Amino acid sequence: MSAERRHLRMIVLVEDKRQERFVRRLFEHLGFEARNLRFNIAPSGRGAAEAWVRKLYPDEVRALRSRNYQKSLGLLAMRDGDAVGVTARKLELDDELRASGLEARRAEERIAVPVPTWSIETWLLHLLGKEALPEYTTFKNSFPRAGERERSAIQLAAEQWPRPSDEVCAQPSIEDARAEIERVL
Amino acid sequence: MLGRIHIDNYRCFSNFELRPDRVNLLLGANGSGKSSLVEVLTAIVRLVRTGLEVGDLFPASTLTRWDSRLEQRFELELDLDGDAYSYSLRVEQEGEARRTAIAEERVTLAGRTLFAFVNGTVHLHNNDGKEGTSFPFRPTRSFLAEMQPRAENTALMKLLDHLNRTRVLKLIPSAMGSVSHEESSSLRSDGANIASWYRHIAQENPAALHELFSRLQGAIPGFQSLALTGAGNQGRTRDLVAKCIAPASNPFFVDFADLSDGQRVLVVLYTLLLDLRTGAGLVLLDEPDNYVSLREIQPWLAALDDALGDDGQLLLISHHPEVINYLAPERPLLFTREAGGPVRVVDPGFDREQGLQASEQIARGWLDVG
Repeated sequence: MSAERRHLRMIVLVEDKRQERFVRRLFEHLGFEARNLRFNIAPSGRGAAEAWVRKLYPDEVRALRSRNYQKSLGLLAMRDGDAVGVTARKLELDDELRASGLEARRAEERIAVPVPTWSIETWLLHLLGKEALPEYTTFKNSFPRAGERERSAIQLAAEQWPRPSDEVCAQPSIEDARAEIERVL
Repeated sequence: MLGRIHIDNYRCFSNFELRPDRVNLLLGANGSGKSSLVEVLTAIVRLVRTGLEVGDLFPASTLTRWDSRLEQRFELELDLDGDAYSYSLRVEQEGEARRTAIAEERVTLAGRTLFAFVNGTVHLHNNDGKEGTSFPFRPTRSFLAEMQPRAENTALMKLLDHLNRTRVLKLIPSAMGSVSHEESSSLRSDGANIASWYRHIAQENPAALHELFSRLQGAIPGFQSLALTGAGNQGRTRDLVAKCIAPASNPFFVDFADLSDGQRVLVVLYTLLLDLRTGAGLVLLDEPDNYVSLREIQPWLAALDDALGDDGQLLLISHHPEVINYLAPERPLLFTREAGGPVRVVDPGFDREQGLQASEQIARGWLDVG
C-alpha cells in the first residue's frame, strides 16, 4: 500500500497555510511523497477563504474527471466548518458542482472534502491530547504562531491521526474526515 | 525579527517605511523598488559586518534624483527574543568632493544606547547602556565591523550576530563554478563560490548531507550525491562533482559546472536550507525561482518554510505565478510608484470571492490598489 501511495498525485485546495502544513504532514505520515502534493492556498485578501476553495472546487473536479484514465490522481478540498458545520459545508460543495453543470461526487472518485470544525486548530488541539472539544466555538487563537513550535506541534498532531483500526474518534469532524481521507488513499 | 525598516533619500525611497512579517512576498512592476529594498538591507549588513567603505555601499549615485538633500537616513527595528533593538544610520554625501561619510550611526536596546558614532567619535556603552570608552574613528567605515565579543557588549553582539546571519541570493548559474581553492563560510549572492561554500558546509555538518542528497535525488533525476575531488596536483584545490546514475549504467561523475542552470540552482537552494540550520536570520531572495522547473518550486518553498524556524525571516521577490500563488497567503507586499515617484507599499487586497489565483489577479490588472 505504501509504495502505491508514494506515487499518488493530489491537488489540495486549502484555506490557509496552517491547513497546508497540517495536510502536508498528515499525508507524509500516511505514506505520500510530499512532492506529489500540489497545494492551492487561498491568498491573503478580501472575502472568505472558504469561498475561494469553493469557487475553485468545480474546476478541479472537472480537471480530475477529464483524466479519469489515470487512477493515481486525487483531489482534496479542505474548508473550515466554522458556525456552518460539516454537513452544510459538504452540501455547499455539492451545490457548486451542480451550479457548474457537474455530477455530484461519486463514491468511487478519489475526492475528499474534510471539514475541520470549527477550524483546523480544533483538530490540532484534539490530536495533541485534549479531550473532545466543542465544535460550536473557535480555538483559532489557542495555537502557536508560525515557527518551530507550530511546526513540531503540527508534526506531532499529524502522527496522532486515527488509524483505521482505532475506535470512533471523539472529535466528530475528525471522525467524518477519517472516511473522507480514506477515499483518496 | 526585523519589525520595521525606514529609508529616506535612497534611490526611489523617500521617507519610506515597511513593517515586514515572518514571510514576505515582494510584488510589483519592474522598477517599483523591490530589488532596491534588498540592496539597502544588504548594504547595511555589509557595512556593519564586513567593514566595507560606506562610499562603496552607498555611493552618491544612490541619492534620490528628485531630492536635493545630501543626507540619507536608514533605520531598522528588530525584535530578538523579546529584546527591542534599533539601528540607525545617517550617511552624508558631499557632491563636489564625491565623498561619502557616516554622519551618525547608533544602536539602542529598549531605548538604551549600546553604540554610537557621532561627529567622528565612537562611543562604546556596556550592556546596561552606561557609556565607556570614546575615541575618534574615520567616518568612511563602520566601527561595528571591528567589534569583538566581550562580557560587557553581549547585547550589542547579539544584534550583530543576527545581522551576520543574513543570507542574500540573486543567483546567476553561469557564474557558479566547480573549483574550490579553500572553504568559504558564506555564499556570494550570485552563487559563484558554491564549491567553496559547499566544502565548508560538508566539513562542518557532514551528518546532514544525507538529507541534502535525498532531497536533491527527488528534485534532479539520476542525481545521487555531491563530492569534492582532488584537482590534479594543486594542493588544497578541489572540484565539486555530482555523482549520477542512469538506467542500466554504472554511477558516473559530472563536473558541477556541467550541470544544467536549473540543476545548479537547485543544488544551491537546497544547500541553503542546510545552512539555515546553523542559525537562520534574514533571508533575502531575489527571484530564486529563475531556472527552476515548475514542479520543483512548491517542494522547495515548503522546505524553506520549515528551515526558517523561529528566527528566520524571508523577504522574497518573484514574478513567477507558482511562487506568487504559494506565498500570497502569507504577507504579500505590493510595491508601487506613481509616475516614477517614490515607492509606496500596499496590501494588494486579493479578492478571494472571484476564485482566481493571486497571480491571475495581478496579470489581469484587477487589483484595486488605488
